[in-house]
Amino acid sequence: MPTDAESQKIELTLQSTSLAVRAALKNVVKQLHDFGLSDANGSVTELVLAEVLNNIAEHAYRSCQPGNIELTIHKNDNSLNLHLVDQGQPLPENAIPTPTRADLSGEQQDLPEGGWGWLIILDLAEDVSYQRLNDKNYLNFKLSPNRAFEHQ
Amino acid sequence: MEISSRTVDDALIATVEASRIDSAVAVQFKDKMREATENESARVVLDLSNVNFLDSSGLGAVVAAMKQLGTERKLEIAGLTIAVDKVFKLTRMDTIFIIHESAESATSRAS
Repeated sequence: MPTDAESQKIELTLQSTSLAVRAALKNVVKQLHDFGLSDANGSVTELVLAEVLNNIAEHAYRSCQPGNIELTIHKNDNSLNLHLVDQGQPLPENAIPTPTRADLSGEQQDLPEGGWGWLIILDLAEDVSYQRLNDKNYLNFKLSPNRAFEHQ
Repeated sequence: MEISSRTVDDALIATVEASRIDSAVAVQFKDKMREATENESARVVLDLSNVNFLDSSGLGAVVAAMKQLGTERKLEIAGLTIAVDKVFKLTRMDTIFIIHESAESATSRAS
């Protein structure tokens, strides 16, 4: 088990396919568990990360041509800092979307079947920032679901 | 992913026999739900008690499964684990579905 702060870092590169995303999430959740993160905080992290990785796979790389996603997670005393880099298409207007909640009052057949990804990310993550630099997308954000992650 | 189904009174209980409904299995989930609900039953209860991870693709597949049933039958949901319940609440989809604590409480007369 890692004991010093230096070692509480996860770095991995994955392909932007749904099965690679699933494998990466499993890997990250296991390592976070080894870092002493509670299952509840691990599952919040897994959800946000799943939405971010799915967005990159489906939109930045447009599903048909998978590319690499670099993921780095630093665990501090009270939070996780996550950094993602990909070489896909930029976010529309080079900016983090501002999602609106769909109207759920209409007919059942008109209910949305998606569009929740950014809502979930922005609801649960803090300090979300995006940069387009040298044909790469850089997304950074922080997670501190309980405001106090457990220590070793 | 497998979905097992059984009938209790007027309800078909469709139980997801997998721990995840994510983008890797979203399409498969919709197809399996279509097969499982082919026989007409008055009610359809989707039992998610084995599912501990659902992302927005998975939630989209659950909504699609509800639409597949048409307007005559409502899709009811049972057995939300903590992580799955969180996704329903964050997206307000908990206001759309009838949600039961468990498949058993969904079909007991007392509820």
